[in-house]
Amino acid sequence: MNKKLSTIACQYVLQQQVAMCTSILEMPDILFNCIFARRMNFKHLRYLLYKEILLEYRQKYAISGIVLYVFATLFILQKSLGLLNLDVFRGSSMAAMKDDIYIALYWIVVLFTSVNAAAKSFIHEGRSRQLYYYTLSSPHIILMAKFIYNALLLLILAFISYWGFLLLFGDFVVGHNYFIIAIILGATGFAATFTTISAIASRAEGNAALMTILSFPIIIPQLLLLSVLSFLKNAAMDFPDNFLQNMPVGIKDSIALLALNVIVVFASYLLFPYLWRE
Amino acid sequence: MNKLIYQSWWKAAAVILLLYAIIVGLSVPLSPAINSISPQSFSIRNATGSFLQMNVIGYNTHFDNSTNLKAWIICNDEKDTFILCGNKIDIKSSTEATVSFLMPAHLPFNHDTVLANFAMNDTKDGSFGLDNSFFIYGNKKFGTGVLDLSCKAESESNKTAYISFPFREVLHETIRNLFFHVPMWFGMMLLLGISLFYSIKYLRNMREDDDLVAVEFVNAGLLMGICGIVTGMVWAQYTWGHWWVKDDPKLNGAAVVLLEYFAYIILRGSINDERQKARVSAVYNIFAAASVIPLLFILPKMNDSLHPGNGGNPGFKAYDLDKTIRLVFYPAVMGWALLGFWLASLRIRIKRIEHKLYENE
Repeated sequence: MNKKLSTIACQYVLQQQVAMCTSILEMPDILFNCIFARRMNFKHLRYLLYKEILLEYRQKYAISGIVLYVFATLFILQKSLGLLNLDVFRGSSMAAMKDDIYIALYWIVVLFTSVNAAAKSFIHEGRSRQLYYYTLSSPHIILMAKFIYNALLLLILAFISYWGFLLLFGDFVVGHNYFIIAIILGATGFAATFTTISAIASRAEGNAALMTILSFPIIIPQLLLLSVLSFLKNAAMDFPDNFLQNMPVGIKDSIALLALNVIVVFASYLLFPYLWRE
Repeated sequence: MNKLIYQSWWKAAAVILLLYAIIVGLSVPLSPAINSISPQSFSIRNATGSFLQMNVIGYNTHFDNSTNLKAWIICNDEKDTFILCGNKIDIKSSTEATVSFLMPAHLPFNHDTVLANFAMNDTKDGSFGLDNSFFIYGNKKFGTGVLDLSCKAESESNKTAYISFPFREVLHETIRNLFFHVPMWFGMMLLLGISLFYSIKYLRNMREDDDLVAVEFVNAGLLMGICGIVTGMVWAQYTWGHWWVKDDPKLNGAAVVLLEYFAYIILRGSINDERQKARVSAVYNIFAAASVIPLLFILPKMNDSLHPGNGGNPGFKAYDLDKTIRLVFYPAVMGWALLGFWLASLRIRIKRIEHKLYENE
């Protein structure tokens, strides 16, 4: 009898705690679900990712269109910069300014390519097909599959543009180590932001202009951090005595960028359930 | 909060606080200062033991009504201080005077050139001066002549006898913008924060009224933000010389916040279905806030800013020393925040009435 009472009391307290937890902060609940895969079905995730890639493979015009977009932009840049004749800066004290221009142009190209590439993730799928997906799997997994797919796509596109810039403009980067870190973190951050914004824009009569209007203010913090990171020179990775206090700018910036990406992914993960419903 | 909207005591408080802040903030004079002195240098070698006639042009000074006007040239070393007292002051008008100094044959310093401060004091106007404004050339340590060490810069009071705002280099009269620009940003932050709170509340309860409140707080916050950015731009033009400064994290933050909430308004405009509109815009509000908060609170800590309190610039704490600024600034903050709240509450009431009328039709 006594034992039974105590278990009831225990259950009550637990219930209270759970209720408090969910009412004050839903985060622990969702985090728990996320980690222990009650909602997160990795099999579904794998299949959805496979579906995205297969779709892209079958409709080759979409990805080839984006790659063509990159190369057309690069060609136009090369022609228009040829008129400016930036090579006069080479070797002079203005050499840094030349790098500035190329790195800024690189991020502009990547930004606009990413918007175009990620915009179609929700906008170009019909309402009925999306509804069909939601009956098959949970919205979280659909969002995550889209995010991972977009991250892969944008990484490939960013590296293609990097290669294209190296091909057309020579060695334009100050420090390749930090620049590659910037590309990886930047592409994943762009993917996270643009996937969510594309979901938002698809609710609103889905036009592409709205996509840029909604996403550019949000992307500016990431771009600011990326611009700091991509202008850094290669530095030898030595660890100072009190590392946390005298952290090198590059590492501090990378951590900030990574944290920002995590915040964006987490926010979109929390908010997507409210978004997908008709 | 719903009760608060229909009460009127805080609206009266807003009016009183704002009237007080505007009237006092614009009418209290700046404390006196010195615009220029001429000549700005003196060579000991050429004129041993001679008189120096110095013309002083003051700002907001009351030379003609002064009771106990004194003037000093204060020479500082790393260790020692040597002070020259003004012998005679000829007053021409309230802002112009001529001070004569009896210059010594040498100064008790090792340096050949000494950079000195010019300072004045009056029982009415308090202490004021021009730092690092006067050069004395041709000093020899072991020069001839007797040094008069008796002069000391003593004054009865450093403060003005009347209420005044501190005079600051570069800022000058624009220090009054502190009662407009800064409280407007605070007000915007508060209103947008309330809007974020109501967006979260809307997603939890799906009550139409919460969405209405969120939108109207965004509208009021945007108005405050635009006023804040315009006053800030005017201030920047006067103090930094440009309407907009590149790479200042606070300016970046301001621009991003305004763009983001304009995008929010545009997003609302492009959805027709009311429920869909409310839900999607609430999601965008929260998502945008989550990704912009790092920009507003972390990046300014990482980079230098031209704003006070950042990157080695003196903060406004230094201006608060005499407490007169604080006496106007805090009421101004409260007044502008309450005014924004009032604007939002009026719009909310209009929208609620419109909804009721629409339902009755």
